[in-house]
Amino acid sequence: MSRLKLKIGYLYPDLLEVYSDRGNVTVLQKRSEWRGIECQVDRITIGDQRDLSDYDLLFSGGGEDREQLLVAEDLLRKRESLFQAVASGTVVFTICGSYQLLGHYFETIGGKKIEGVGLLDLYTIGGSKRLVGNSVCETELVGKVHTLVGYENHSGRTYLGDSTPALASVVAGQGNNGGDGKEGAAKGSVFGTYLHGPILSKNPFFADHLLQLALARRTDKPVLPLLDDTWEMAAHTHIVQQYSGVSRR
Amino acid sequence: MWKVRTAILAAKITKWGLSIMGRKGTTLPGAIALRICPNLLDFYGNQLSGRIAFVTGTNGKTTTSNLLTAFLRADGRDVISNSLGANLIQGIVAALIEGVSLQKKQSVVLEVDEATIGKVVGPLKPTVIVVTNFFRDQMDRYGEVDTVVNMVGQALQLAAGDTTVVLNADDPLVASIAPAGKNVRYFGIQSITMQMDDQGEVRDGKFCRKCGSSLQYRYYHYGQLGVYECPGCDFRRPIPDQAAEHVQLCDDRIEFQLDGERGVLNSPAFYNVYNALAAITAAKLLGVKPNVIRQEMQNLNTGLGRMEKIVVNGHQQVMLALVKNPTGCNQVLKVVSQFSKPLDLILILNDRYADGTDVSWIWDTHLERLSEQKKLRRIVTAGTRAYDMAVRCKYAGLEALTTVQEGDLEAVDRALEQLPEDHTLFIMSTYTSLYAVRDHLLRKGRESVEA
Repeated sequence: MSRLKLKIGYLYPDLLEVYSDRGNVTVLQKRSEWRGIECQVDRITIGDQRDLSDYDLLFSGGGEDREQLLVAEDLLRKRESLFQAVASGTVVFTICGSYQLLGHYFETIGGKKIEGVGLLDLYTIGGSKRLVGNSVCETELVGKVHTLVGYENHSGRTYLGDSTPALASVVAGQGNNGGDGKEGAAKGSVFGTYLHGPILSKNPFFADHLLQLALARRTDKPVLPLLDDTWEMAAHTHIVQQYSGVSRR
Repeated sequence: MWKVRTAILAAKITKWGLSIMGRKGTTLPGAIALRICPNLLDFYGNQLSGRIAFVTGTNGKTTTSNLLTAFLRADGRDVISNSLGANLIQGIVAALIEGVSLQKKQSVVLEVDEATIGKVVGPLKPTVIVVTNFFRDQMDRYGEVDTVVNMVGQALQLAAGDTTVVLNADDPLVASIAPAGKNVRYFGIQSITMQMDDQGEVRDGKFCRKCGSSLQYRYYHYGQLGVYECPGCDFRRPIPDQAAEHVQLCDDRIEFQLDGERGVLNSPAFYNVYNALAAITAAKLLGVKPNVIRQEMQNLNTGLGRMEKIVVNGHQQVMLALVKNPTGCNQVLKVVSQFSKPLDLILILNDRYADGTDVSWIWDTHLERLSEQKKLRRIVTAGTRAYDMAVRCKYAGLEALTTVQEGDLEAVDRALEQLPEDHTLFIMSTYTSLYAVRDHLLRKGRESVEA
């Protein structure tokens, strides 16, 4: 039997790298390897023409305004390939700046409209005050409620359309826009969130959920043996206790 | 004038009150004084006209200020500084109130926070402003690197015409804010006689801030610092007025040449060469005598907790380093990974306001590099985010070496108890534990001497 292999496409690692979101790729890679699953990570940036359907999971992080603009233009060129990938079951996991670009548009505080790829029904408006701080949310993954913890730092306010469910609901923190109590977006195999941390390092069940979905493209019954997540959950619980006063997994 | 006097008196009383309670009082007296007399800084600006130096930038503010202070003192000057790093406006005011005497001729060296410099440059009218570098740091406070660069750039524009601006030529973000029509001096590194490797380092300022093109580098020193030019416009690394040559790391110190003179730093951290160059450039501008500079260069002391060697219990070697952002931390990790003697390591990670409340940055550090350091025996993580640090170590392939110890001083005590003979203990700490750990170590050092 050939060894199970996972292919991750890391989009714009040289441009969208501002809040150490790259750690998420480290976490996905290690959690695969610890289970004997070979994990190949390809870095894909501006101008690269690759068939994104080749990948089981596509990841990208957050960036500063200038970098985000450059990425927006290139992402539009990759739009068709991205949609085909999603149709083939590829997991798309985006944080902050790249999450915003999955929507219809991002209108900056200066009134400039940056066009997104429209993979998710959402739009983002720039705000003058940044939404910054630790965040505790609740999410339901495969019928089970988990807390998600992370750190948010964004000026954009994201609003979800009716057809796009939130990834989580805010217990403590600001979420998508500081108003409606929603955090991130999750539709099928496409995910977006404002949480840094990196989020997967402190929410190992979410990392495994993404791996499970990605591996579903490779094998009918992806089995991920349990790992020892004592330290990960201690880091997780520390934030939960500090910021929401409740302790729950 | 009565307002000035009342403000100063109120600050002094506050400071005295705090000292009775055993507190240092580095900011509160300043806050009170400013409440009473909002334009108190104008008064000090006039008093100290022509003798003030500012140091700003992301990394190296404290070290550069301390080095500059040492040059001035060696030149026989009476120097006031905010040497404990209280670099926001209240801290600056507190330091001035405490230090300024109307009877004496004094010089002032102030490290100034990047967001504060715009508020103090007008009233204090500094003679020299040094900008060390710009890196990603504490984005919970300021948002983006660009924002910080712009804030400092605007402050330099506000500076008076006879102010000299001292800039790091090797940092394109710093060089990009050179104010037109002002006196500008540059410092930089010309040649290195040691192996440099910085793959995957965090790099801010890869793009030309004038035209947006990708900068081309002849070589990198660290982060975005190096010899660069823009293919799209005329922006390029300025030729440094003060250029270090033959920079060489020698186990526990660094040597370099500057204008044919030998410089010796007591710390093995490469970035301190830049801090030394900045301080020397500023000292020359402030008129420190050449023979004093030559003399002081032989023994440059980078100061408290900046890769500082402390001997504890009579014989145990401890190296203490402040880490607060990935670029600075990677520089320290480089020293640790190349260290030639056996060592243990403590990593203290806090997320209080002064540390930066977002600890994500640890994932931009090259802890992976330590998995190749065969002489590393164990790692202990501590601090409010001890488990975040432990998780980071685990994913860097260091799980087998790592344990978690809640409580910083306990971690230090345990580590010292269990430190084998001939091992060096490296302690890397974020800001809010640094001085507590340092005091603790010094106490142990003293007790052993007295015993």
